[in-house]
Amino acid sequence: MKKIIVIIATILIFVVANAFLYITITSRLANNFSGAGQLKMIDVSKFLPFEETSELARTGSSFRLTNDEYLPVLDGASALVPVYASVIENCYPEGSVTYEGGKFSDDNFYGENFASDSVMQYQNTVRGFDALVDGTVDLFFTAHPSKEQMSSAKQKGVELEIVPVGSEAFVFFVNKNNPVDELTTEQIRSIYRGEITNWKDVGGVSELINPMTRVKGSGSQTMMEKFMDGNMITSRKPLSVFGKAIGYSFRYYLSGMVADSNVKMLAINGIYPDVENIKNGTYPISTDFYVVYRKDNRNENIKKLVEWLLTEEGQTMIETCGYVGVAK
Amino acid sequence: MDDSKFIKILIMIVVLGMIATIAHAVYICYAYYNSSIIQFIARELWL
Repeated sequence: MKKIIVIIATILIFVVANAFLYITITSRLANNFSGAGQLKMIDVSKFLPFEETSELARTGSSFRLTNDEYLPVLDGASALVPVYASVIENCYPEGSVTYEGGKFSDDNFYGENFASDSVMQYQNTVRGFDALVDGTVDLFFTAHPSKEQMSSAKQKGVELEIVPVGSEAFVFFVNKNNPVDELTTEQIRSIYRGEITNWKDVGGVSELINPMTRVKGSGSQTMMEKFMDGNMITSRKPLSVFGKAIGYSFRYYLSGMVADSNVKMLAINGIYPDVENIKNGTYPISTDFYVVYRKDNRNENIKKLVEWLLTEEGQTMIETCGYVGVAK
Repeated sequence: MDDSKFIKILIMIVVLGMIATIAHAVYICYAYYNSSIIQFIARELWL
């Protein structure tokens, strides 16, 4: 009998340990373990040009391209899919977005099936930027490219034009049940330098802080490195995994595209990141977003499109997408 | 159950349990580093 109890107890130890790991960690891991998974972080099917049900900014344009011209190929970061898909909707001829097999599908390895001759592509920040440098994409919508990306382009002898076309807030967020509603920029920097490690030191409960980071080269990680002036923890710390987490993203990606009601954005220095506070400049961590193209690209329509984005029409479209126009 | 059989069963359970737990931990290390920040925080447990 005693031996049976020992055997059952041993089995239970492993079951309980693995159940604990599953409940506290494994069940929360989701979705972007690969390049393909990262692309599937947003539902591109909601932002397909020339589809009646798409959630695009149909604001109209006095600038329209025709099928007789060379149409610039657009790509960009996932957070900016609504913007560049709306550019196509407003300025491109119908039929310019095409799919392998004739119909949109997000069932393939890279998350979508835009055909090679389609003017819309979706390869996200890392692969999309490489495609711009290699010349298969003409215009790339993104947060400012990272130092590594700029240096990689330079090594390939490619000079880039980087034009700000809108602004966006860089936001920090926590679980909705976390009692902390605001932090100062200095508290955030201390958290991400590993100097503040417990929520009680910033007005919260006595729990470890789990400062989460993003993939190197992603738009939000590049922005965070800039905010931290290069002085931050290099990756997620395994031991803080059981603590209560804080993360960062761009406002519209978090609140408009993913829109998960279980997370909340934090006010920074007492200012909440809403459109009004970004526009009037009181929210302290705003940044421009850009269109990037190769300086040696001879397609005249690229410059025309960029100029259009900076007109009142273009800026209205960007604001209708949920972003903030570039500061004048 | 004689001692020899008991020890064999116990060693087998410990080995299998260790393999399963290590595999689980390896998966966590890989997936945690690459997982969605938003989903991870949204699913945080607050009792």
